[in-house]
This record gives sequence, C-alpha cells and structure tokens, in this order.
Amino acid sequence: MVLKIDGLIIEYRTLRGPLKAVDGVSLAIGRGEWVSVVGESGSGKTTLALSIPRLLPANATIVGGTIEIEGVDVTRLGEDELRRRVRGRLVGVVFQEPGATLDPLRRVGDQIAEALMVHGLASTKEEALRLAGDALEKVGVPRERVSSYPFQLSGGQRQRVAIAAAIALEPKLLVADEPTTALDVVVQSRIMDLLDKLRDDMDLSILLVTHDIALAAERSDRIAVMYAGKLAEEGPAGEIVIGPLHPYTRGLLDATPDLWGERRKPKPIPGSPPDLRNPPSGCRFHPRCPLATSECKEREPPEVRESSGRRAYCFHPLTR
Amino acid sequence: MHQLLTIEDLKVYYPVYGSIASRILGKPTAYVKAVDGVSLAIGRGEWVSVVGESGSGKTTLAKAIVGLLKPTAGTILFDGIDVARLSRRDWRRRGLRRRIQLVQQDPLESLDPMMPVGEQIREALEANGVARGGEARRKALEALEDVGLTPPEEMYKRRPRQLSGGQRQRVAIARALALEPDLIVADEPVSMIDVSLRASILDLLDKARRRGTSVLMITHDIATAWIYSDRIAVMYLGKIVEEGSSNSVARDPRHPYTAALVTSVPSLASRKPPKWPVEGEVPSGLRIPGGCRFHPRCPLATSECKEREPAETVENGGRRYRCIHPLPPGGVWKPPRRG
Repeated sequence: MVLKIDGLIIEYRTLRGPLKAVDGVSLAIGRGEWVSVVGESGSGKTTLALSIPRLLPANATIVGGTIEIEGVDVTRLGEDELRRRVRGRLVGVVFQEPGATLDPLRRVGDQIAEALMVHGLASTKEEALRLAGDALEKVGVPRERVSSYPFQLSGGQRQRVAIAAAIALEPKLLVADEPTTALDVVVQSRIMDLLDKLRDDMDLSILLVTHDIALAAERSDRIAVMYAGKLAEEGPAGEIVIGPLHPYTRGLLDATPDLWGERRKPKPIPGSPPDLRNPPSGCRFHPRCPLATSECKEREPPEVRESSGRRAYCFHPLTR
Repeated sequence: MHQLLTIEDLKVYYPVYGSIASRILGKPTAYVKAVDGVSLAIGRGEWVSVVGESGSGKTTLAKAIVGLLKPTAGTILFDGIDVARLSRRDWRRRGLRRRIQLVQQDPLESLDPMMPVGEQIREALEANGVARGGEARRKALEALEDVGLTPPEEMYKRRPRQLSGGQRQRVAIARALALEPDLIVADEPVSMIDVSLRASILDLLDKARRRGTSVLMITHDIATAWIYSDRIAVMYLGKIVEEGSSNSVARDPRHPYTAALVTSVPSLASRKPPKWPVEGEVPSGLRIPGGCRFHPRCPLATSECKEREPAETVENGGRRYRCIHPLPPGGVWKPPRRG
C-alpha cells in the first residue's frame, strides 16, 4: 500500500468549541490506484486530504490514528522532516485554486526549478530549468512556458502547472482537492484525462477529493463516501454507484442529475447536514435517513464487510 | 405562444481603457463584447435555461434583463415594454422592479446582513406596494412557510448569518416569489448549495413556474438545465450557438460546442456517448476569433469556419444553431478522432 490511514481523528479548535472534522477514518490506496473521497461540505473530506501531507491549518490537531505513506508514519514527523522527506517527495498536492501553490510574482519555471534544486534533484539552475520544462511537457504545457508568470496563463493551464509542480519530484501519491471545481466542464474533463495519463506513466497513486459522485465514478477505481466526519461506505467505484449499501450514498445518487440517465427530477435528502460541534448520537446520518430506527439513534453503526472488499457503516444496509 | 420576454439582437459591450490617457479622455481602446447579438424569447410559464461556461456572457445577459446593466444595442421587450431604454425611475414606476425578480448565486449579496430576514421580505412587499402593515407581515410569514422555512415565526427573526447557505437561498427565493413576479431570473441559483439540497431549491422555482411565473435560469450545469427547463440556449463567447427544446439540445445537439459540453459532463449512465475531443479554453472576450468564434477549438473546423461567421439555421420545430458543419441527428455519439 502506498497510503494507509488508520483510525484517523482530527479535531479543530474553534471559538464555539472543539469539532471533530474527521472521526475514526481508515483508508488505504495501492500503487497506481485512484481513490476518490466523495462528500458534501462539512463531511471532512478536505481535512482528511490535507492531513496526508500534514498541511492542516494551525487550529487542527491529529488526536488519534496513523497516516503511513510508503511505510512512513507522517503523523510522527516534525516540520523539518515533512518538508525534506514528505511534501513533494512522497506526496504531491493540488488544490482547487492553483494560486494556493503558485507564487504570482515568480516565473513558473523558477518555482518548479527551485523545488528540484532544494531536493537535490538538479545541481545547476540550467539543469533544474530543463527538468522543469520536462515537467511542464508531461502535463501538456509547452516548455517555453517556464518563463511565464501565472497570470499569463489560463485557468486550466495554471492548474496544469500546479500539477507539474506537484509531480516534479516524482512523488508516489498525488492528493488533489477539488482540482477542477473552479474550471469549466470541458477543461475539467481534460485535466482528469491528464491525471489518468500521469497515473499510467508514473504509476502514481491518486486521492481525489470531490463533491461530484458521477465524476468520481467515471474516473476512480474506488470511492470512499464521507458524511459528517465519518466514512459512510467504501469500495469499488462501479459497485458503489450501481448498488450502494449506505442510505446516504443512495440519497446522494438520487440527488444528482444525470444527463445520460433517466430524465427525472433529482430527489433532495431531507434535513440538513449536522453541526459537528454537536453531532447527532449514534449514526450521524440518522436524522436524515429514511431507514433509521431507534437503534440508529443509540449506537454507532457496525461495519458491514463484503468479500469484494466493500465496507459500509450502517445498521440497515441496502440490498441490491 | 404569447411571449413574455423577447430579446432581439442584444449587445452589451464593456469598454476597456488600455492607457491612462484613454481613461482620462473617456475613449476606450477596446471593447469586451460580453453579449454580442443575442436573440431569445420566453413564454409565460416557460422555463428557459441559458447554459454556458465562464466567459460566455451568460451573467451579463441576466444583468441586462433585470436592468442592472445598460445594453449597448438591441431591445429587451418585456410584456411589450422595451425595458432596455427605460430610466431607473420608469423601471420603478411601471412596476418592473416587482415584476422581474433576480435570484443570485450568493444570496448574501442581495440580503441585508443586519436585518431579520422576515423584515426584509416585509419591506420588499411594502416598497413595491404589494401589501402594507400587518398584511405585509402576514404575507412575509406565508412566504417563509411556502419555501419550507418553518416555523415561520421563528425564521422571520433570524438574520442571514444565522442561516445555512441553503436556507439563505430559500429566503432570497421567498422574497422574490412573495412579490408575485412574472419573470424570475435565477443566476446559478444552486451552484453554492450542497448536492443533497439542490433539488429542494430548484423545486421551489418549478412550483412557481407551474403557477405561471416564467423562469430564466443561468447555469453552467447542462444536466440540471435539461431536467428542469422547457428550452435550453447554449452560449459561447457572447453568442447563442444553439437553442431549442431541452431534450433536443442536451441529448442530440447540432453544434460541436454543445456536443463537447454534453459529453464532458460526468455521468453514471452505463450507455453514454464518448467524450468529444475539444482542446483549449474559452478565449478572452477581447480577442474573439474571426469567423465562427468556436473554430480554434472545434474538432470539425475547416478553413471556411475561419473565414465567415456562420448564419443561423432554423429547423422545423424551432431549434436553431450557428454552425457550418452541424452534427447529423445522433451525431453526438460519433465524435471525430482526436486530430
């Protein structure tokens, strides 16, 4: 396994009290595997993703669990080691806004080249710039763009450059947090093609965070659905969307319009997502769940496992 | 059909001042042609969606219709009145501020952060002469209840910040509907809302439509447009490139740009057309390509497409498009090979 997250708990300190954004999540990703974490706002999907390269905001603390990347437990490492060994080297990161990675005042080639030199992957500036050009070509940006500033690029090209920077040190894992949400759907499709190609070329593992379950289904090997800080279910992408086990996943699918499916009005999930400072007892989805019984209010749902490696956390899993 | 809104050859250009001198002299060095000759009609009780990506001009079009922007040229006939030429005062005097309602993507932009939301609805009712005093308050409570904000007495007192994003959008819609408008212009009404709650917001608009209100939705989401609207107009760089019944445009497009759009949308269906190979991005409105404006990205483009702007073709049944090499029926299933 390239990534192995076990029992992860992440807490935020907020003005109105502590909040568990991620509460006991376990997830593994194999070499060259693409896993998408799907959820809505407040599900904890972004917190989970940012904890892998240890890029959580200052008010967040990992209070439990482990995150192993290639056997290294990154929860035990200090800032210095994270910078030297983990970020860029083991795991590359792409955010929704490419501006989060790219310095607006420096040429994109210089930014990539610097990272290569700091990590000793190039000994001279010339060599580093040449490698930066290679990285740009790998993501479908002409190598002449090394001398462009971020503002001279289109939104899609900026995101490609951010991807080039994320993979320049040839990490094993790429964490992409809603990388195409700010982009148009045609450009989104091309960026997803690019991630797919990088996965093949570099044997890269991908963790994509998205709110779009259809996008996840089209692109990934496995899907992990999160709700209110917990995993609702996880398994092969095709199985999850054809026969979800968890009623929340069913609800999400029914709420998603599908242009090439049946022309029916999407169904909303009743109620609204919980306040994580004061989460519901038992199963966190129970106040919105059509199948909830008294049991669901009182106890945490058990893990349901299938032979194919699928798992769900529910007292009343759906049958196909 | 008797049209409620008829837009003809509408143009909205933004001046660009490329130098300080041009700014001082008030002489623009260029124009961004955000809306560049758009014609579109909406019948009473009809839901029309304008679909486009960023830079298509769809939001500018919406702003021109609700009177927030003065068009450069063209007409916007609303119930027989050319609203494009009216002064602000005439907008108010003729009741257009009430009859045409805008629902924005981010309700925080249109709601007063300090005022209880019920009061905001009551105030809108009074300002537009729909009701006053106790009756206005009663109507505001009703409006909150209609959009599912219950108990209404409790919700009435809340301030926008005390509500979730979905609840705020309900307030914005409640206020718009309380004024009993003829037309609702909804600009990306659910793009900031969680997937699980979107349908409940769209259903509110759909209910209003069934009672005879016309809806013009601006969206980048062609799947949602397909489900809720009667007709879809696809915009690209300031022009409508294709327009017709929802099903025909979204599932059997004639224009290669529409084909790229509908095949790029992620779908869970087991049978769906292959993705169309379209490279690049929407260019800047300052540098609109000559000929067909989609030609630099179009997989079907020929030299002809560079040279002349395609005329509008109108099919039986009313679907229209601007393309020299339109797709045959079912053509979306057979994309050209990546060149």
